[in-house]
Amino acid sequence: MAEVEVTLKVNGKTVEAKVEPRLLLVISYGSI
Amino acid sequence: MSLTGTHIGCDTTHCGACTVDLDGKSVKSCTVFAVQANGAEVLTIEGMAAPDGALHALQHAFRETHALQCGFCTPGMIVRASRLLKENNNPTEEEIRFGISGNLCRCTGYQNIVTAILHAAAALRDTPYQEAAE
Repeated sequence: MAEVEVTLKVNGKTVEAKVEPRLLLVISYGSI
Repeated sequence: MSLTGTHIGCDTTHCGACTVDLDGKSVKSCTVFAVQANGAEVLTIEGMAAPDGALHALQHAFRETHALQCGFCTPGMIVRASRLLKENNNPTEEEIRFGISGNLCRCTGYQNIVTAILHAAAALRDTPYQEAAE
């Protein structure tokens, strides 16, 4: 599956990541 | 990111253990796609304390009033409660119970969680907490 670039600000820190579209946000899963 | 405070509970949006704040709204992150959060601001339990490590009023109140036992629901409960108090800084017990109704706790019976949120609300308003009359 193609990856999508996402940019989030998590707890004030900007994070860029490539994720598969089906990945869920739950951060402890290691999606981001 | 190594942020392990947000817990996986039911993975089906029922329990609230995975609650985070997404652009000013409480969401259950187990059913939010990462791409849906693109460009958003996310607050997790790790972002609650001050940069110097001082606990947030809710974290302090949970500790002081014994509002947790196993602690699994606590990160989601605190992040949810912080949003609740931003929306209503002086909630009644009933409003708190309604406000956290999407977050399940299997240990405490909720009473001390509600008490902790009342304590934190008072602390954030800078007024002493007073128990409601029976």
